[in-house]
Amino acid sequence: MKGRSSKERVTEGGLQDERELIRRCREGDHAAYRVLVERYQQKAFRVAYRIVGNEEDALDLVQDAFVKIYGSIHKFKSQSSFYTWFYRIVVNVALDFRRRKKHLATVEYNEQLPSMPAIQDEITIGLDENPQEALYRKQREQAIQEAIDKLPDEQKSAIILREVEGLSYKEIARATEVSIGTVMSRLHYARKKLQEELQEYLEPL
Amino acid sequence: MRSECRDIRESLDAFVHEELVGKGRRRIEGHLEGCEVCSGEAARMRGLGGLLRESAGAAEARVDFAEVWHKVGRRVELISEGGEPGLLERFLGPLRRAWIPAVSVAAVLILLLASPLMFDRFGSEPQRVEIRSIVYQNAEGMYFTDEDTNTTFVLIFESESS
Repeated sequence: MKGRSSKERVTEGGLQDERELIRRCREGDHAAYRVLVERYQQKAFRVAYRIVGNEEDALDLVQDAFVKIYGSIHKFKSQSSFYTWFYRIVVNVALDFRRRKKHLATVEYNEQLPSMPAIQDEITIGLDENPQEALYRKQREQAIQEAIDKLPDEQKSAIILREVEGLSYKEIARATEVSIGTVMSRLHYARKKLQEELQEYLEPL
Repeated sequence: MRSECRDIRESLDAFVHEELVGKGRRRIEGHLEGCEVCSGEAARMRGLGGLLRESAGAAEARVDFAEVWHKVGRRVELISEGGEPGLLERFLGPLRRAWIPAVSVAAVLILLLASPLMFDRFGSEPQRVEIRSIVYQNAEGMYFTDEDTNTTFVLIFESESS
């Protein structure tokens, strides 16, 4: 086994720079925090989006996560990696939101009258996209989200950190505070379930 | 499934995720060259990763991140202006686990020690009282006597239907 790097690994120089930024953030330097936010906002968005499946919610969660990170940056231990700690917070914020929303949806559904019409989902069509492609994309997105929703939270976070963010097993283990063996097992089961659910989108055309 | 394939499948996740090096990696590469079933499975695994990445990447491309810092920055400023809760937590955080049980134990002890004093003053059992009511012209009244303390309480209300 080897420790594979994430897509945008922090270099030694970058690590020093990041430690310096964190030190300044702890002293209340907002400009330093802005650099960190702008460096990590896309990563946070991708993870949040893949968990909640909605761009607007994901963007709100990115903000919530960064506010939370700022509020607890003094708890971050400088000798550990900032990005694994950052991923842990983003994943937890998004999973909490998803759980709350699921609960709310159940309550709303129970209170709905059976005769109420279903609200039609909107499909955003790109300028260079034909309606058939747009429909296929929409259906595929829904299928991905439904498949991810069916996974237990711990498998969900493992597969997203691995497949979307490209974190190594070791990095996922650090971010989710479990052993590498547990990460491997979670990834195996998550991958198997997703492959079953998304079979039609994985078969070669 | 052949027994060799079964062995390979156990390490296929790690192989596809580029977590395998050296001999282990070469063994799987060799097997995949000659096994269509396992190489198909490896392709589906890679396809799943690609699908999840592509979908999240497409959403990322549609989003404007310019506003993120403005919104986060405003909230961060509020945190800083509001007496630095982070600083307070820094001192209370490690102690919280210790002082919550200590305060709970103290509260129970105070209640236990103070209860005889409270019961002496107010009585430990509900007292029997006899309540009587009187209606006179536009007033209604009631009175009751506490037999233990020999005290009479009188309450008079003005009637609404006068």
